Amino acid sequence: MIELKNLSKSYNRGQIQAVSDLDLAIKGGEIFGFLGPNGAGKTTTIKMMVGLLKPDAGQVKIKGFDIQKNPLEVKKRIGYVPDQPDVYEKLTGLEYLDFMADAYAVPLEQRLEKMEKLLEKFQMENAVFDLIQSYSHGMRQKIVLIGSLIPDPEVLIIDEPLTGLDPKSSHIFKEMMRSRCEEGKIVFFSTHILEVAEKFCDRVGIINKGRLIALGTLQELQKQAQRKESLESIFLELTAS
Amino acid sequence: MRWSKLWILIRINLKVTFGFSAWLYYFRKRDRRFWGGLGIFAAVLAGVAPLFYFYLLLLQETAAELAGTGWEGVIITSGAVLASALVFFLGLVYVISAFYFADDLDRLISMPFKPAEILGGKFFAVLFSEYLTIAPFFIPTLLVYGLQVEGGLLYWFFAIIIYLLLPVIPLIIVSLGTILLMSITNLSRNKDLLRILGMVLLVVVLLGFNYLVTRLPEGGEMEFMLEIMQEPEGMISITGRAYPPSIWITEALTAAGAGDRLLNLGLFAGVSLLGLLGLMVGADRLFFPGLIGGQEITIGGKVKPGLLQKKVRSRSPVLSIALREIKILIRVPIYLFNSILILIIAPVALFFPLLLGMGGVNIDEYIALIEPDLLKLGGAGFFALLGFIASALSSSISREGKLFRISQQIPVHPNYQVLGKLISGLLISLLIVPIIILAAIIIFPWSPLDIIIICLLGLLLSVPLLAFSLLIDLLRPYFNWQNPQQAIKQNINVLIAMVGGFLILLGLGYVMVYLLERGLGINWIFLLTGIGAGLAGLIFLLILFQVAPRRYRDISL
Ligand SMILES: Nc1ncnc2c1ncn2[C@@H]1O[C@H](COP(=O)(O)OP(=O)(O)O)[C@@H](O)[C@H]1O
Ligand SMILES: [Mg+2]
Repeated sequence: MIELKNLSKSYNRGQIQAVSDLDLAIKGGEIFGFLGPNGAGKTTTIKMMVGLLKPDAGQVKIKGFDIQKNPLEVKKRIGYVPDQPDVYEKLTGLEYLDFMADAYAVPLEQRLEKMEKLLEKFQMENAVFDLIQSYSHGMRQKIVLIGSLIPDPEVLIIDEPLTGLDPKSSHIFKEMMRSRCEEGKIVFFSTHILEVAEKFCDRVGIINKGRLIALGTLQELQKQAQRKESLESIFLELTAS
Repeated sequence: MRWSKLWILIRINLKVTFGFSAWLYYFRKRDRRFWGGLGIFAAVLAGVAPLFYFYLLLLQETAAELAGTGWEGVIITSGAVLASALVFFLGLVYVISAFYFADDLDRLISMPFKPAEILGGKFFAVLFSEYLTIAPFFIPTLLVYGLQVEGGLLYWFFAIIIYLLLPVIPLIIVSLGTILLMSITNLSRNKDLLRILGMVLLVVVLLGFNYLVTRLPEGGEMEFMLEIMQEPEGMISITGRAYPPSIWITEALTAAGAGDRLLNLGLFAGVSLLGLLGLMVGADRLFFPGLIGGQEITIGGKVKPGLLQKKVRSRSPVLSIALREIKILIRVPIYLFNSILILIIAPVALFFPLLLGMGGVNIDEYIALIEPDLLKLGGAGFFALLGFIASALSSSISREGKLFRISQQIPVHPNYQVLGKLISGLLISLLIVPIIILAAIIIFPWSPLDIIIICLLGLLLSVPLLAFSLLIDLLRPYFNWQNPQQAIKQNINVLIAMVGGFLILLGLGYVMVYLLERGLGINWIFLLTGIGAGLAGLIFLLILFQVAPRRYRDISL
């Protein structure tokens, strides 16, 4: 369960209102797409959800815990994959994974089992022993993703996924997200790419200029829109100003 | 080599190194940063002023004792050797970071400059920093001697030339050694490790060579010493053998005839220039091969079964964080050269001149002069100071840079995270134990129990220092760097922590020496030092635990 209440954030002493008065509730077992053009406020919202950014006002609750009051309880329960896959260049992939697993207190058994499975799926079984500085952009994304999946979080938050993944990996990724939902977990991701949201999400929230301007399943959104067309036209229509 | 190009590069490098343009800009804009920078500069000056004062006193006393003996020149020789050694050891760090880890290198390589021109520009930038570094040590020497013998115009003129030329030869030696090492090791897979070993080897070989040439003849020490004593120039020549240019320097400033002086100055200048030419020739061949390439790794092949099981470990978050810190510190060459390598360079630089019997002083006799208890306290202080510098906690938060978001994201309480960092510092400090043991074997008359006490006390003393420096960096981390070098070189926290830590140690040391002189038993002193250090450590730790959760929550990258 994710609850955002009246969430607001501005930059440069109020000059840039990145997120204003955002309300959102997401229940278990769904893939939620947070859709919006560049600069809409997606990354800002996500950073507030994972505790990297302090909101000016409002509240973030995950599984009933408030990120401001109970940050550790929230952080334990979420996995976060940022838009830029920046990782420790001078650790090997395995050392990074081990570090993350230590940080999330993942027992050795679960750690090994997950690592074996995920490394094989994303074809990182060999590269995992090399220093991350030798990885390509896509490999970095994979190692960050794997690192966030090892603790098996109840809520997975991904900022702009799939931008650097090869087709095979992105297919596997989608399947994995689907199966997480079937286990009742939440996948929350942001994207500015419509197709991704269209094919892939149970529900979509459209954000523009920091405000949530539409929310619902694809069908609901199509009903809202004047013309019954693809999400693209809805998106364009809603975000046009 | 085109001089106009070289000149362009020198100017750019100087501007960047010393931030002239930035400071001028801040000054014109009446920016806070200008006054802040000035304030910190003043604070640093105030911190080292007492030490400098002692140095001046020492020089004056030495000069007074030498007066009339015909050995007045010794002061110049020692000053020159000391300054050259300083240039050499600091050069080991300056040169490698300027030549190989500067952030503008990628751009410079792609521009139409020759290797020797790029390297030359960097070399002169380092040279200028060395002028500043040796100024407080060498200029007083020149002044004291010059005033004592009432040197004429020629003396002062030569003194200026010598001051300008002094760092050239040691810096060339370091530079040539460095580019040779970097180009040889560049293709190797373990090049970082090899480079460290190479640096150490370079130091050891040079010092070993020095040791051999200055060694007193076996069995005939007494006769030899007597001979030296009888002959006014003897002392100078034995010191000068460690570093021949120091003789030329001495002669150029102290010889009786103007002709002799000119000859020696010419010799010194000539060798310096020849060295420069050699460096330029070497640079054209060796500089780029050491700089470019060598990044490839091996991917592919069969997966080795069981490798994962063997390598995966489960650790407590605190230990895991400590290990992450250490791994990154030793794997980023610039961090390694600036911190952990100090563990080798500092003791060697400190003790080797003594071991060589510089200035004809016998090390054992010299040490016998110092109160043994004081020596042990000093040992513990040295331990703490070295560990404090080597573990580099004063840039530990800054060095995380934009990856600090990982620290903010993981569900590990910030207090555990800073604890992990402190433990990394203590683990690194443990590397000093073998140094103390070695020092006890070679130089100091310490029993195994003494060694244990010194190390324990040293570790305890380093707790407040480490916690203090981490606190400084936590309060005002510098995240906005583009390249790891800036994280430490442009980080004012490093300087603040250094001065602060030094003052903390000095304060504790002052109290202890005071008590010792009041006749308090040494065991009490040890105990009190331990308690004092423990208390100070606890206080800083508690402050740290107050600050950390808020900083980890509030910092936004
Ligand atoms: N650190 C920052 N400082 C100032 N403005 C920022 C900062 N980060 C984001 N912004 C601004 O906030 C708005 C929302 O940005 P962001 O959340 O990154 O959008 P999105 O992820 O949807 O592309 C943009 O106008 C952006 O320019
Ligand atoms: Mg974004």
